[in-house]
Amino acid sequence: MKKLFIIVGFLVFCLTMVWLIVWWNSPERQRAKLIVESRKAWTTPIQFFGKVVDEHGNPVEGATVRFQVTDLSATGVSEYHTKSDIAGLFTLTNVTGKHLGVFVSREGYYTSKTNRTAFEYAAGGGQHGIFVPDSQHPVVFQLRKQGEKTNVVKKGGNFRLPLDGTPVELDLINCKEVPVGTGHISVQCWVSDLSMSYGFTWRWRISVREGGLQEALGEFLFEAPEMGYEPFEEGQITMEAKPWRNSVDRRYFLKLADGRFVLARIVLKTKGTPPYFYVEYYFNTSGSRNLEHDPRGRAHWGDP
Amino acid sequence: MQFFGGTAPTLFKRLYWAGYKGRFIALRWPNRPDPVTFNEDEYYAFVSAIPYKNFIESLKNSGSWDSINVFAHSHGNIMVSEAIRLGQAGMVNNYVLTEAAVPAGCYDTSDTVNNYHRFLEVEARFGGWNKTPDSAAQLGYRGHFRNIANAGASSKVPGNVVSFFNPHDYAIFTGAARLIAWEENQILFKPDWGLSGGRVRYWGNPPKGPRVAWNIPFLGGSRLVFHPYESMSFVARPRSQAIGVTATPRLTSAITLNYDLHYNLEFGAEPSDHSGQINRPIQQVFPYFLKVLDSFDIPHVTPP
Repeated sequence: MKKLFIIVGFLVFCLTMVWLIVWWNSPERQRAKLIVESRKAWTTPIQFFGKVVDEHGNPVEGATVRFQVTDLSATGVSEYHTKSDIAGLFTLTNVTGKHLGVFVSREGYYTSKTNRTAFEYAAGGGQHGIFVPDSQHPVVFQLRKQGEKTNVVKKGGNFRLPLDGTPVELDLINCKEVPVGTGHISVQCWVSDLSMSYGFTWRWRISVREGGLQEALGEFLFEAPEMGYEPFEEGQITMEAKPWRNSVDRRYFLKLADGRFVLARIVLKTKGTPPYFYVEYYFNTSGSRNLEHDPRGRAHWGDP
Repeated sequence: MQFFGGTAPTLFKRLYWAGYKGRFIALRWPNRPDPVTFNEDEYYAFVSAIPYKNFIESLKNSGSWDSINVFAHSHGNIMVSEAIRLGQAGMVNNYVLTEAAVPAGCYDTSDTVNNYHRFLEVEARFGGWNKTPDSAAQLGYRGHFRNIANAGASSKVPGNVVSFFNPHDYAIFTGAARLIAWEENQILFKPDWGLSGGRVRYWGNPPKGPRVAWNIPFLGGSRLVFHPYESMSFVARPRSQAIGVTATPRLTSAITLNYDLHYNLEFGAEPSDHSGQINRPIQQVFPYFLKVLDSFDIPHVTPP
């Protein structure tokens, strides 16, 4: 009897061990661990060290810093605020969460949109991986001091876009179409096969009568260059182009015949119904190269 | 133009003031039966794509629409992208995805996009039979919507496919406290392990494909999953972040343009910013609607 009891006990022990080994390696246990880890991720300690500088690299004091932390609070997001000190430095400590958004601003400055704003603190986390704070190397946030916004006028509108090369000329001062030979700029577009909805070859030409243009690149397009203007720009999208597009979105500095400078966005839409082009531009009525304007107005330009 | 969800009237009004004067259809489908996971919601969206495709094609073939442009928010993009994938070439003219809860890898098969370490780590951790399908051929996500655009003459969308994304999006990426974000769902509930109703449990089971087990004590059998809708919704873990939080390269992707909602409109991690274009005052988000019309090749007003 005692022997039987020992054998049964041993068997029960063995079965329990087997079950434990199976369970230990089971996906269920892995999942249970994942859930615990996932929950813990939202209580990760967060530290952040940042520095605010202007366009010349000088520290900016008194910049407002808004932190947004996703955590386990009732709203799911907690906000914290601070200001940069005389050296442009600021910190965030004694906070827990998973994802940190850092938004820097200051009256009289533009915030560069190229600043990194998303930081992940928990395992895995985002495209950049886990962020490791370093007090010796604070994350730099760039601001740009605002200048004068005098005499800058904004205009814009939609105009027909013939696809057979017929030029459409615009008077930019009054923002209206005018007879050929009398406008500031001329827009032309040629489409190889008007019956095709996709994959046709097309080209365009934008010219400035007795003046010139050059592509405008960069974030703060506030000062028109003095030199470097060409009388026209031509472009083409072939049927083999990858990616193929039926529209283009271009930004230019223009120098008009009367010496005035213009910052313009020109969008050609070959597949609008009917085809059209959109122009939006800023020019300085005094003839100055300064084209600084309210940056909120440029936000909708988006990516070209 | 078509929109989804109860916010359609607001969207229509905002688009109207941005310059849209065309016809407008709003659609909804039976979504989110499961309050915990995204999985059933996704399955319903996939299945709803079939009648939706038939509806769009009936509009297209009626000949009374100059152009058909589609806009979809969040998980609505599963239904819309699938309908477009199933449809005829040139089915819709342009397509806007906003804050889309769809893996970026669906639109781009490149390893650059399909290497999101957070998902790869979980895949590696489970391994073996619990490794989930990756490519569309294996009934996974990668490349499932690759040919809707940028695919030559067979493109279902010959015009623009524009993704409006927010790198801080709470519902898709950074959140947890108020709801399980889409990203956490991919980690915790793929394969679906029974929390979702407790009826069935899935696993990857390569190389035969996903398998489902009926969760009935002592009697539970199993079967293979053959349908991609079931496999993607309940089994497959993506290898990429959602398209609604990240940009994809234009050369390899079916997305022709990306629009950063944080960069351009300062959308943050507030849960309400998952629909910030509706929840915020129009004065803050007017550029959003200009960009939507721009994406649809529809003339818009010039902002003040």
